[in-house]
Amino acid sequence: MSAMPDTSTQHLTADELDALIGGSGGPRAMSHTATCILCRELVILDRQLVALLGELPPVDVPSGFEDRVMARVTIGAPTPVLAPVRSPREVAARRRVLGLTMAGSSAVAAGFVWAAADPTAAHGWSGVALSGLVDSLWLSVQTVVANTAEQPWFGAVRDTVATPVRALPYLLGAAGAYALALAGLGRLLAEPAADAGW
Amino acid sequence: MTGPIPSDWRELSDQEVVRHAVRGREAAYRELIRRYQRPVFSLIYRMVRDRELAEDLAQETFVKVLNAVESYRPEFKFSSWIFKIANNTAIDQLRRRSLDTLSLDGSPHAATADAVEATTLQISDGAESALEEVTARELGQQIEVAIAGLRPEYRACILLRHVEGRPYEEIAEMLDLPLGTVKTYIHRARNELRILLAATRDA
Repeated sequence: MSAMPDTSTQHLTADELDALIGGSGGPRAMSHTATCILCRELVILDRQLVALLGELPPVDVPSGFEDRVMARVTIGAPTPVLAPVRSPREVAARRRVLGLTMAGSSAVAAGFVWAAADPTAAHGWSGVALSGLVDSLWLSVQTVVANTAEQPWFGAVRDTVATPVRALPYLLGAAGAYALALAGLGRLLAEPAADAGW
Repeated sequence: MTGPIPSDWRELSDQEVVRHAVRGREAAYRELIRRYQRPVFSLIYRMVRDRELAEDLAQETFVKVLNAVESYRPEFKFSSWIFKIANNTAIDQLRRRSLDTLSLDGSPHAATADAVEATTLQISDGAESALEEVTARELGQQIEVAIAGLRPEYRACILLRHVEGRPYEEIAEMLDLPLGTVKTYIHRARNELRILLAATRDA
């Protein structure tokens, strides 16, 4: 059984310092400040500082402020419903999720096209490279592909894009649509103004 | 249906006053201004350090809030909403104009002596003795100077925490920062203030 590390000599953490400034503090923090002159001084200084900050007088509001604001406010007018305003962090997070989703969808779509174009090679690759859960997911893709390939319209579609030259216009069209969709989503998810509400 | 008009607005919660404002009652709008004009103006002033500009930004804050009062979501504190908009307005202004000089002695944009006088920091009078008043004023000015030397992010955090007395979680929500970041900023701000104050006193 290993001995518990002696933490009493470690200086106060920011959280412990906060707690002590607020008048509370765990036993370790209390016992440490009883012996550590540096941390004790820190607590004393921070308490003084916080007290000074708390005592800062409010700044006088210019006279007539209320009336000047009221002159600019439209009372009872139908307020335009603000679109749900997202913070820059939320927007960035949503963009990341969107990007990952689109990348995943593109990968699945590419696999779908590849398997449709050459089911034998796809089957061979799946046997070598995929196993377990991934293999079963792949099997699902292959099933969908097989079902699609049995559809009466599939032959005509396959003939249309049978060669790279024939497929090129469609690929370019798809890429253009993808770029337009991205641009549209980018506008929708544009970062809100810093002064917007929630 | 507009409901009864309250006899004493001060007894109502912010949410209740907002409900009256949404119904179009001017008195409710005025009550919201009265409740928040001082803390909002103080926060903005201490962020931008220009009285004239602070009034413009405070007005802008209230106009935005009151013109969009119907979109207020009562599950959040009204104070958080208005402080968030005030802070964003001030930060936006700081970014635009890169104000980094202190102007306790009047607006840097003031062109005349009267304008300087009109824009000089004015603080509320307390009922203190002359000596206490001088000491308090000196300390207050040292603190104001020290706060002015902080990075805007630190400034907003320390003002909201230790001047406005807002809890960490609310500050994190207002400033859209992780809780840990808010704690770190406040800790660093206190460290810097301690150093700046010591330097100011030594000088």
